[in-house]
Amino acid sequence: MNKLTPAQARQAWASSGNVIAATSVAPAAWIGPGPRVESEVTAPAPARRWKALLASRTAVLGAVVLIGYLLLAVVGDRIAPYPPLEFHYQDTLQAPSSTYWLGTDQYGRDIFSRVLAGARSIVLIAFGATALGVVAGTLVGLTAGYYGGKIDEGLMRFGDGVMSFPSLLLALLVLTTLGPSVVNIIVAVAITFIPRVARIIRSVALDLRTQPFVQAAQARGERAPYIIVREMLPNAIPAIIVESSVRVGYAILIGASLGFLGLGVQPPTPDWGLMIYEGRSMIQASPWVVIGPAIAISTLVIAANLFAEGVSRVLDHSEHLEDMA
Amino acid sequence: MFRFFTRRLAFMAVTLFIVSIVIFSVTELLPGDVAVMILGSEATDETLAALRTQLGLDKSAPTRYFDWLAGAARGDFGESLRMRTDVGPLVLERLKNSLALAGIALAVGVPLALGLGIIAGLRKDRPSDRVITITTLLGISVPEFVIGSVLIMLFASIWPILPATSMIDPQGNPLENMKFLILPAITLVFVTLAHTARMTRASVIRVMRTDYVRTATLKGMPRGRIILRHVLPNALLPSITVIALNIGWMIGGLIVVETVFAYPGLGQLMIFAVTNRDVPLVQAVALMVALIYALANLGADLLYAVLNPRIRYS
Repeated sequence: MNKLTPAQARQAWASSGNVIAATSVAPAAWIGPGPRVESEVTAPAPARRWKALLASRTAVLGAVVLIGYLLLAVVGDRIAPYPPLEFHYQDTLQAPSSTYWLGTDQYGRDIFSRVLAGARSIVLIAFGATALGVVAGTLVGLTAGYYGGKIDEGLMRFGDGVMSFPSLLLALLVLTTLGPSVVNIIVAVAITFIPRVARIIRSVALDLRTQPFVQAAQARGERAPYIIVREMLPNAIPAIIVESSVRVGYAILIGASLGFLGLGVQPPTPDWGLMIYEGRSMIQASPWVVIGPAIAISTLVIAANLFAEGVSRVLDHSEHLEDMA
Repeated sequence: MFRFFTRRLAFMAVTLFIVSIVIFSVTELLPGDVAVMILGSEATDETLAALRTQLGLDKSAPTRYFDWLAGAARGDFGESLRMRTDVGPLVLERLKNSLALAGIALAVGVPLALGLGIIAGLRKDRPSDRVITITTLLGISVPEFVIGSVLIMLFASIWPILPATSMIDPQGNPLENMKFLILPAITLVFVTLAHTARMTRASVIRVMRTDYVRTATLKGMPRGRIILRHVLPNALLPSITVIALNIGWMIGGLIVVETVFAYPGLGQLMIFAVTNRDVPLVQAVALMVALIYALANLGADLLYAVLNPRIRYS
């Protein structure tokens, strides 16, 4: 993978049809626990990867917006012009103005302040669910790929069963029992991710298992957990990074939808999905109640997808379809 | 072909079996006492015990699972905890409404998606491709409830030609009043179209780069014939799988879209069941949805095998 000029990068972005990516990543060889050696399928050095990523304007734009929302998640409620829960009874359902930049809702709460403060729940869900799902999925995938045979067959069949639920439906099932809350949404979304991540990491692991450094470790008499974590995991990292970046977009979409369906943050805490749900009966008379959070959620997902597309392009060229639902 | 069919059918049966176990265990084995949930925390121990016996909760989990599965096979899903009616007929009635909506969305969306994908793929990097690529990026990024809300603003308030909500009679024929279906259907089309169009575009671009297309060009075959004879048959084959996967997306989309427009379908029923912790209803809807999704995948695989001999004989 060579360094891309901005023009090439744009072309590549325009031609890569989708944001879903990553199956087989060429592993860089490890020789025992020692210095990293590039394999003959030359994987680019990290520095070159960074350059390629930075050369893609869309990926950089996505990253900048993502970081912006990440900061909002930390300080959003503190930099808001009004307390996000404060009622202004004289100013209910005001149109956007210099006093209330994005207008007010039916209780006179400032929508701009609520949008700023609402970043926290969705960012928590996005990164929490991705982290949990990718870590668990990676462990399952590496285990299945390393052992192969019956263990592999069993894990993958069960995963197929779990994947035969549309993600949102499975998350709803889990939330039926756990009850609505941000933490439970993180768990529910992570559960939908585990089999999908596991399947991808497994295909990498199947490849790694036949590599000389794994066989050398087996010959040294290393135990399976050691080989999986110390020998195979480091070489699966490019695939894990691609998978994580793709998952963030899905986590935001599912998390926001669950919030919209009333299964996440409970009122009066601000949450973009919930704000749109509560505002949907007022759309016709006071559309600004919905416009602010709608723009926030849309730009966040677009940014996540642009960034993921850049990461996938730099680390991996292949595409896979299995993963969509 | 017959062997492929039976193997695929057996595979689907195994998957559905796993699915039923997942549904049952997720909804019944995790913490939370159904009897307490129904009667409230003030209920006496005797009434709780009586209800548990009535619901069969005093039996072991495997016994309850097989009782439930046997009932489901006969179409008997038990009684809704909240609505106090049989779950089976309720689910079927809502399924009819959801199928009407999804059917319209698929009938419009699939040809449109394939067409746009092909145009974008053949006209790569030209303005028409840019427009399609950016629109479909929006389609995969913007949540259904945002698209639905924007459509309501545009076509129900700024230019009021369509109703903002689709509260039709759940028992009636949804196709009788088409104007209530238009906005929810457009929302669904937009979201599912985006994925199929992007995949089709990528697929067309991949095929256009193959040696056989280059050979055909070099031997002087007219471009139109190359596209019809060589590019489309090879490029559209993977789209069949994508469309089946899309049904999975569409089910997720239906749940959200039906809530946005208050449309009385299976998705809205699911949300009602989940928020009310109506376990028999949740189980029935989930099993029904999983069954439809499995059938869609089966259909796609069979169609794929019919059109592609390489799969059939491997």
